[in-house]
Amino acid sequence: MSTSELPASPHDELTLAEMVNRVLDKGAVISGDVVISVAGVDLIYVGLRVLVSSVEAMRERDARDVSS
Amino acid sequence: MPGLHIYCVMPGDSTPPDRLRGIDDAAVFAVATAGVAVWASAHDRRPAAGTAFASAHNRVVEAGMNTEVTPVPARYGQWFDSERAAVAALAAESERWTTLLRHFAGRCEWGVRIMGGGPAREMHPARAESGTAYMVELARRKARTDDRRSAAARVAEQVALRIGALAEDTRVEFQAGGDVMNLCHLVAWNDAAAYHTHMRSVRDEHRSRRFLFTGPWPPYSFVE
Repeated sequence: MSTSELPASPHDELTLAEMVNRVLDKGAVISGDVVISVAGVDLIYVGLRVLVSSVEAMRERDARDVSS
Repeated sequence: MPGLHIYCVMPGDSTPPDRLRGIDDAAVFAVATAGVAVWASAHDRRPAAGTAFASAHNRVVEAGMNTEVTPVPARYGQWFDSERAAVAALAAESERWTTLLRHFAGRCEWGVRIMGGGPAREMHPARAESGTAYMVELARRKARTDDRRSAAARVAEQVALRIGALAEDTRVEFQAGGDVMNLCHLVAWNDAAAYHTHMRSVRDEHRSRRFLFTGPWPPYSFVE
């Protein structure tokens, strides 16, 4: 799996968010019973936070590009 | 007695690559019945969620993917108390899995995350002078969110027209109040180069938006 179009660090975070979003929220249900035991941190929240912070970082970068 | 964590559904004659390790570094093996198999690993307890485990889960599913076979990826968190229980569940819907495996064979999922470019987003109103003013402000914000979604949907329509039949199937999701649109396409391996050429041309026509291409993925987005 790979990504393209953004610099290295946001890439990694966005790729992680993409992966987490797919693995936890999508895919086949074989048993009709999906239970995710969360240790300490809500992983779905982590994925969302990574996404939102990445979007905010992108906006800030755009703002800097415009002003410079 | 250990139970099984399930990674994906595969053809009945499939075997995981030698030394393939899954979550918690557990060995991955196949459990087959009725012409289909699941790739699984044994654990004393149901694995917790964590980014490392999610990555390991995805790594195993990707290990089953090649140009001829595409796994039906299992959602994380599926657990059977015994191999017998897994076999029974698998056999109960073997026709469904066979149909999906046939549909996915030779294809994979590509993701496109399209960000920004619509009307500016506003911060949540921290306070309002009256209840009416607050409701008016909320309605105004909702209208702007709808505008952002509509603008993004027009891009999605353009993408659909451009790639045409190269995408066998498409999923569209909105996030962050319409600021982010996720497109998922099921594309044949043989069509991947043409698909990317078309996607790059759409990106070049929308310079105000950021496009993030990801893939190839197992077809997580195309199993309900």
